[in-house]
Amino acid sequence: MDSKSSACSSPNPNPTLGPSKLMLAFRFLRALSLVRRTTPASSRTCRGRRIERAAYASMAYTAGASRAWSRAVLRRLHHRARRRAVAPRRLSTTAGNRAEALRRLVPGGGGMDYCTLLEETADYIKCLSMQVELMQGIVDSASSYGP
Amino acid sequence: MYCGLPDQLPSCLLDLNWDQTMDTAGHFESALSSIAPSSQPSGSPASAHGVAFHKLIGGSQSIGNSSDGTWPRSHHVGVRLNSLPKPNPSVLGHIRHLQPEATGGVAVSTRLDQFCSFGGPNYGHPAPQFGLLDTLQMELPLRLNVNNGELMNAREESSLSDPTTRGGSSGGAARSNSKKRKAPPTDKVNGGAILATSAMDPPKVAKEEDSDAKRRRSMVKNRDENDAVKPKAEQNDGCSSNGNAAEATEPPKDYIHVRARRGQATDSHSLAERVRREKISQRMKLLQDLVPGCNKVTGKAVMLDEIIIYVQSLQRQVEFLSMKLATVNPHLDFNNLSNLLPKDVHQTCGAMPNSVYSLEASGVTPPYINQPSLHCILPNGMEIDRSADLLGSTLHQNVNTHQPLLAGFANSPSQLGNFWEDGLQNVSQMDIGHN
Repeated sequence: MDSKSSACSSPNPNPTLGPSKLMLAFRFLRALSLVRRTTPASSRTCRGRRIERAAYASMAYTAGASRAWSRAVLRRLHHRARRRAVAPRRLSTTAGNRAEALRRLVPGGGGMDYCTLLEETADYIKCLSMQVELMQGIVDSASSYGP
Repeated sequence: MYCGLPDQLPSCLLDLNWDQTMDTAGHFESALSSIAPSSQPSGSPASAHGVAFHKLIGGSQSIGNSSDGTWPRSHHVGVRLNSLPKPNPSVLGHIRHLQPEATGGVAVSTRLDQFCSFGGPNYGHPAPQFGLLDTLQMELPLRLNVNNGELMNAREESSLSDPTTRGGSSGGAARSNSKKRKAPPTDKVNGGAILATSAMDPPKVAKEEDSDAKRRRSMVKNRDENDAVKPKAEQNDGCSSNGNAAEATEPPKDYIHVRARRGQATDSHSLAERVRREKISQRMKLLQDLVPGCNKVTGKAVMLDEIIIYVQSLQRQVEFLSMKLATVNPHLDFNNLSNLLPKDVHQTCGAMPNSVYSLEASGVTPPYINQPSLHCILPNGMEIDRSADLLGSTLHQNVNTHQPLLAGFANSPSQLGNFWEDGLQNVSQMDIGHN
């Protein structure tokens, strides 16, 4: 899949604006509905993992191809579809190099200089917090509505 | 990435410590850019009035009101021509040329530690050196020298008068500490159209020095430094300008200029290092705003730790919420759907009492959905997929709105017919297939 080429060639519809909550909601809800439709309700963990992947994918798509971390996320998703964890968590070695720990956390952080890493981290944090907000909102509304 | 310095100032501007971006910088630039082609001494009539010299310093005081001939600001400095020993006719010619534009709103700062010195090898004519004057009247429009990037501060003014250094302020590093202010030299200044002022007031000089003492010392970035940052291609440009990596605004150049601070090394490596450090600190500030509770944190190491912890917590939250979403039955209705976009929600129209969609708070929050958009009022108990469809239809309908601002955005769902947009479904389907 020429993810990189097409991802890099497609212009970010919001070059100047930040990532949009609306677009994120749109993408995530669509993916969520797809996952719910296609996975059996019994396999919750499997579903959960898929939803998590869908969350990261929608985040990355919303952020656009201009961000290194979004490209790395999609690369990871497409090439490692068999793996479960999208964002492998590792212990941050505070004793060691903090920059390295940050590089492991932020997708695509391994191949960039420190300055770019900070920039990408900022954007990544923005998108992550938007995603978390969205998901929390869905959970809240779902749980509040339930009978 | 450029450090975001105000680089709107024209190259001709020789001032050193612009505090803020000149909002009139645009005018300034256009005005001064006319100087560049006119750098050749023209046979303009030598005005008997000479050149008023304005010290351009940080600040945004516009001199647009110079048209009435008076400078209401007390900090304006000007040189009365009658006080000039030898007004250079060619210089005057330039001034005359500049006059129509200069009144268009050249910003004059009020800081007294800077002065605009005119120099520039491109000017083939010598000119007396300007000193710092503090007059309330500008009899002639601002005369700005087209300098190829030499920035002098008050301390170096004397260096300008030094004929040996006239060729360039390359010795600025050495001269930066000089506090001498010489009498305006004669036309020995070989390329500087610097108007000297014999009417320089010692108190003004003292004031300038004092204000200098308070401010960040700057050294002229010599040509070597310039070269270090970028190739020398711009050196010959008479209207080359400098950009400052720090808060001071300088005549912009095509490449980033870094001003070396007092007592700091000025070689190319340390300057580049300084630029990099400032970039990093800028980004750390950005991150500090993003990460909650990091306002009091000082120090890069602690800040980094906080960032790492925060990113980890966000990722864990995503995982947890996704697990929760797998189990919960998200029975969303339209009411709740609007709650998903907490901020920036506007009431769209009467037909959709609960539909409040708006763009992210990046400044684009126009009530663009002012159309009777959705005719279908969705019943309660809508499922997620229907809510997703609703969102999609809303987005698609916004395509019909002729809002140029949103055109790009609203069209994104339809425009992204490429992998980038459909990839989301691909990913989901791929997940399903592989899992």
